[in-house]
This record gives sequence, C-alpha cells and structure tokens, in this order.
Amino acid sequence: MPLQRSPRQLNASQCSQFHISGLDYGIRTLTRLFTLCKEIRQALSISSLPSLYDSTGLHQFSFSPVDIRTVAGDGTRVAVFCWNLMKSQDSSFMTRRLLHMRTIYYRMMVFLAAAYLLIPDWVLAAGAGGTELIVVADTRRVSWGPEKYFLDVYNTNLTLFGVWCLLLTLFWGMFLGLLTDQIMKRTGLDLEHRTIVEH
Amino acid sequence: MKEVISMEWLYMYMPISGIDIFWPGLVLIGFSVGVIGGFFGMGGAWMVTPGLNILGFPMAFAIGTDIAHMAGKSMISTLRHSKFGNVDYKLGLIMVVGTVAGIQGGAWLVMWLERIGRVESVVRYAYMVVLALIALMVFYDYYKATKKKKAGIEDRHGTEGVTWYKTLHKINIPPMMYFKAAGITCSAWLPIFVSFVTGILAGFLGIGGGLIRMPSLVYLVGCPTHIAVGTDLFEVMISGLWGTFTFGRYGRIELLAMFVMLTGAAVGAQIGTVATKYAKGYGIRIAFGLAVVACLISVIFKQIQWNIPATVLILGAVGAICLYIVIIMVRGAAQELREKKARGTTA
Repeated sequence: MPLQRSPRQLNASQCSQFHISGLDYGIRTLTRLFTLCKEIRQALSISSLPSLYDSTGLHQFSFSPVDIRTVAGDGTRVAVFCWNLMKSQDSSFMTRRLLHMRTIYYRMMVFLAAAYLLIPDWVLAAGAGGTELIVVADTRRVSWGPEKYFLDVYNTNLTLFGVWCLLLTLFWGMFLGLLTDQIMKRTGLDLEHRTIVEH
Repeated sequence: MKEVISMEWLYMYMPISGIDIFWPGLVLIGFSVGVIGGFFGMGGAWMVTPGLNILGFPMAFAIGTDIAHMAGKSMISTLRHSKFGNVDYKLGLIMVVGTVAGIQGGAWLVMWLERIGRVESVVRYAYMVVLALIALMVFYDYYKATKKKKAGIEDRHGTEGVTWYKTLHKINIPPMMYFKAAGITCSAWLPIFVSFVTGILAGFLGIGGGLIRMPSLVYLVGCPTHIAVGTDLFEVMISGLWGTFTFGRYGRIELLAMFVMLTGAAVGAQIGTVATKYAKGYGIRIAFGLAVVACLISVIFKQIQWNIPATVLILGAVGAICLYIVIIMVRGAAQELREKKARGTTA
C-alpha cells in the first residue's frame, strides 16, 4: 500500500490489514490521544490497536486515535487515526531516531516561523483591523508652493507621486553628478586610468 | 537667552512622515554613505536605513527614502566609475532583469509585513542573518587568499581566496556570454539568477542589493573587485530608480529628506570612487567586511534595546571607515600629483 499521510480514516476491520511502506507519523498532543484512546477502543470493541513495522523493519508504529465519527447513512462508526513512531527492535535505532528528531526540530522551526508571520494575517483577515495603512501628508505647516504641490499630489495620486519621485531623483542625481565631476577634474588627477591588483 | 541658543533651525519638518528631523544628520549620513558606497560599490542602505531609523523615521519611510537617495547617489558614482572603465554595462543590464523582478517581490513582502505589523522586527532579524553570512564569507576569503599567497599561488589579478565562480562558470546552459570589461565568459543565467535573489533581498531589506550583489559578483560571477564595484553601482542605480518608483507609488518616500541626503552624498561619492583607484582589491574587501561586522553589531544592540551603544557604534564605524577611505584618497592623490610634478620637472 502506498504511503499515506495521517490522519486517515479506518474502520476496525481494516486496521489489521493495513501495512506501511515508508516512514510517516503524525504529531498530536498527548492529552488528546490519551483521552480519545479509551473511548475509541470501547466504541470499536477491540482490546488493542495494531502495531506495524515499516518496510525496512527498523521502525515500529502504532495507530493513535484522534477522533471518532459516524458515517452518515449506514451508521458505521469510523475512527480517525494518525501514525506514531513507537520503538524498534534494531540496536541502531537511537541514532536514527536522533536524526529524525533533528528533522522534527527543523520542521518545528519552520512551523513557528510561519506561524509568527501568518497568524497576524489570519487574525486581521477575520476582523476590521486588516485595512491598508493610509498615510496623509500634513500640508498645514507647508507654505512653499512647489512643496505644497508635491504634497497634494501625494495625497491625491500616488502613481503620479511615484513618477515625480523617479524624475526628481534622476534630475537631482544627474545635476549633482555633473557638477561634482567638473570640480574633480580641476584637481589635476588622472581620472580615466587605473590598475587592478587584488592582493 | 533661550531664543538666542534655540536649535530649531537644525530641525526640518518632514510633512509626509510628520516628524521633525535633524537635517545635518541627513547631510552627514548622505556624505558618509556617498564615500563608503562609492568605494565599496553599493548604495549603502545597510547603514542608511538604520541611520534614518535612529534619526526618527519609521522603518517603512526609512526604506523608501533611502532607496530614492541611493539611486541618485549611485548615478553620481557610476558616472565616475565608468570613466575608469570599472563598469561592465552588458553584465549590469543583464542583471537588471533579475533585479527588477526580485525587488518587486521584496516590496510586496515589505507591504505585507507592514500590514500585519511585523515589518520592524522581521527586517531587523533578516538584516542580522544576511550581515553575519557576508562578514563570514569575506573573512574566510581573506584567510584563504593569505594562505594561497604564502604558497605562491596566483590568479588573474594576483592572489584570490574564494574562487567559487570557477565552478559556476562550468555551467553551460545557453546562452553563454562574454563580458568584456569583467573579462569573463559564463551562462547568462548565472548573473540573472544571482541578481534575482539579491533583488528580492534588496526590496525586502530596503537596500539597493549592493551589499549582497557586490560580493556575489566577486565570488559567484567572477568579476575583479574594481569591476564588481563599478558594475554594481550601475546596477544599484537602475534597481534604485525602479525601487524609487515602486516605493513612491506606495507613498513611502520623504522627498525632502532625499534631496538633503543626496546633496551630501554627491561630494562623498566622488571621494569614495576616486579612492578605489589607489586601493587593492583585498583592501576594499576587508574594509567592507569590517563595515558589515560593525553594522551587524549595531543592529543586534538595537534589537536588545541598547539604542545609545548602537548609535555610537554605527556612527563611529561609519566615521572610521570614511576617514580610512579619505586617507587612502588623499595619500594616493598626493602621491600621484607629486609624481606628475616630478615628471613635468624632468621633461
């Protein structure tokens, strides 16, 4: 059977026939597992949940129940499981386990970083606080005509303001560049030749 | 008496961000970054953005204003470097493709972070990681170059430490291109890819990308340091102009501050650019590495709320590096003028 990601829906009869061809496991809180485990065992009338080995025989898994549902229509009760890495018969298990722990650590770091960035966005998306930040230039303290004009442009048409920013930067940069270039020429230095030496 | 010693004239009202700014600080930042940027081949936003932030600009305005100032300053430096033959225009134009796409992505990221209220902290953390990696690479390169020099190994323009570009030049994905000023042949995709990644970081961190692109041009693309400096400034100019339009459209540029800073930067850019003529490639690289370390430490200080030490450190480092570059320029120029005079006398 191909590798399946947890959680997965299985009924009691399917559990014993299920085999895993690769390593996969889910991470669930222990509290939730212990609470649900007893309930589901009773509901499915089974004494224990099956343990399985992956294709290499190095890793042993068990199914941990995370939910129990009733399928609409025929009334079949279905348990939702996730894989859990339990233990192995192999002597080098701990070394391998540590490697997997490192993977988990990286995943957790990525998860935390993603949560740090995404949670505010989700929260804002749910309420009115997510509106775009609007900045308005205060023209009350400005009296000089051109400055007032640019501030009005800023307040009314940001695209035009962007174009003005570009043009003014070009103009002022070019003007100052040519001016200072003329001044440097008067120093008498050779400003057209150089030798490249790295070290 | 209080009227006489009033310092109000030292403060300029910034109507968009709504704050009063110490304008000599803006001129000083512009001048210093002009010197340093012209010498290292970068916009210098890695100093300006925290600098503006320290002066009181909110981070989003600091980024936008800085990009606009950087575009103008890079224009001045590029004009001067091109006369030395330090600009590979073909390489620069090819890199524009990746840079523009990358900067757009970076700007979206900043706007999104601003919307969710994470822009300050995320930009600062990303700064720290990038600065640490660059500093490590530069000093590792110097260590390796010193070892090679002792062993008598020489490359094109003297001893080189890290030569990752030699491996990357073996990638034969067409079209292959020859870049005359840089003296290299490689797949066009190499500079495009490098510029795309640096473009994303540039737009995101509010830097021209020179901080990352200059070492990338040296270590990954294979440019000699002086050509990397000139080409990078050309690239910073174009990407900066694009960034100016982008951030202007988002309303995050304080035009008045840009004008003031650019005036100081124009003088500094000439000094920094001419100083490269009198410096060896590794002189530029090491000074660059030290500047990055100083910037990194200051950002860490800022993160742990040590604002005064952070300010002192960043201003001290900028001042020291400026002084170092000015000394190189003055000594070199004086030597050149003496030699010229001696030749004139002999003739």
